[in-house]
Amino acid sequence: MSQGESIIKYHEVSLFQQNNLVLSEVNLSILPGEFVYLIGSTGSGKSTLLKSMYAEIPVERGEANIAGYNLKSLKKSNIPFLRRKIGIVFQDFQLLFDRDVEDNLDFVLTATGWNNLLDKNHRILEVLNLVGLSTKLHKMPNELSGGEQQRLVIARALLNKPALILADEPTGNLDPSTSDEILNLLHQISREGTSVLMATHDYRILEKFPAKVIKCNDGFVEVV
Amino acid sequence: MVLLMLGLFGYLYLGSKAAENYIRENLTVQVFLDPNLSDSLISKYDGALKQEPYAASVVFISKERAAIEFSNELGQDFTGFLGFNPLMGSFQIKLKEGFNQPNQLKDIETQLTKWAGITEVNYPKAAYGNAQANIQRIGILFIGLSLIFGAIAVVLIHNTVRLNLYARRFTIKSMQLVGATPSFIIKPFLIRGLINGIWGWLIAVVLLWLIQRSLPIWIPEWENFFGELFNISLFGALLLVGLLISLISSLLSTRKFLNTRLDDLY
Repeated sequence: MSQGESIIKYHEVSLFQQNNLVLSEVNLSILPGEFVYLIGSTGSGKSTLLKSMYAEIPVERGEANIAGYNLKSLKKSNIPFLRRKIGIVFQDFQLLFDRDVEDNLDFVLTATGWNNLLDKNHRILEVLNLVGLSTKLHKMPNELSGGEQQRLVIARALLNKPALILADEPTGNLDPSTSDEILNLLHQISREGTSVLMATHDYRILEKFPAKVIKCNDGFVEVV
Repeated sequence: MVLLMLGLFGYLYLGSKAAENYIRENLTVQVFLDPNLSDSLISKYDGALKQEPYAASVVFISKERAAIEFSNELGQDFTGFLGFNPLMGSFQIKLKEGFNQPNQLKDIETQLTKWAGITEVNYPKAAYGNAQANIQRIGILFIGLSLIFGAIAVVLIHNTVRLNLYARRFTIKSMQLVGATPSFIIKPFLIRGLINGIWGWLIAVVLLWLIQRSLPIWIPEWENFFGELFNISLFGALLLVGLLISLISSLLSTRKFLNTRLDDLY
């Protein structure tokens, strides 16, 4: 596969948080369907790197392309459309606890321009089937187990058929067997053609589900 | 609340305008004539006065007619009692709009007193001058207070919207992360702003209406200055102002909010 088809392509990128250089000379390429772990100690710049990918912080130096969008020349008005190509599984991107599973998903579809009720219902059932939650349509999030909640978060990330899933510690609060469940799901998604970039601290997972690993260390990103 | 205040100010301002117009329209300059002035000169003056740019209407009242009117007012014929008619003939000039400023009146007075046979030029100087100055002062006060209250309204609405957004920051963050456009996020806040504007307007209109109904009980003259039509234009303007204030401040604060980084909100 040629470099031009990479979902993520960073070339000599430097990233800043409030004028402080966090990462420099980042060179990174992730192909469609590739599964990549992102490791590094706390504060090493993992979150900054992920944030740059969904345009929460700007790329000022170097060349960065995500799913066909050039991040350096990305207009503010195009940020929402970039984000629709990315499924985000983040700790601070919580479920809405005041509504049930279906409405949590419906909310995302409505916010991203889905108008047809039948299309929406169809897509909701599709993603719930993918993550094995099709029987929980009308459960409230607090009635779901931790693993089920995380699967719902992944289902939500899949709604707009993203080219890339960014996952930040998706197994952080889960027991090992539930973690394995989530990892199986993410690997399955990547085998179906969606790239997955997953930040984690859990070295047990790296051994059990081996894949490409990149590491944030001392302000640089290196392939391990 | 703010709309009510604005409405009251508007109400009083329009009232004072009406009062001012009432005074202006009824302002008459009286030109008294020498009793020995010949009829031909009187008719010449009459013609000349009607040509003057400031005259809306010129009415000649002869000393005989003045005597009759005065006698009617007194209830007895004072000419018979006195043996002669001490009154003077006069022109009653009503002024056109735009010729009733105090200095213009003064010019008219100086011009006319130069004419032979004109003994006195009279108009309600003190009453008119004071009334006008007061009305102008009140008008400026109203406009100033309205601006202050308008600014307070914007700040209040601004804060309300900000609090509202702050309370929903996680939902908004979620919306942003899934790729909702800013206009989609802002829309519900604008709609709420509009609804608030309409409610505020309704309450203000009801209160204003009550005030307008009850005012004539205390101030009977009030009614002279206000027709029903006046309500509609004032209420319409209030609706417009209310909607504009809430819409603009909702828009400004949501935009500002969406442009700040969400991390700064925690």
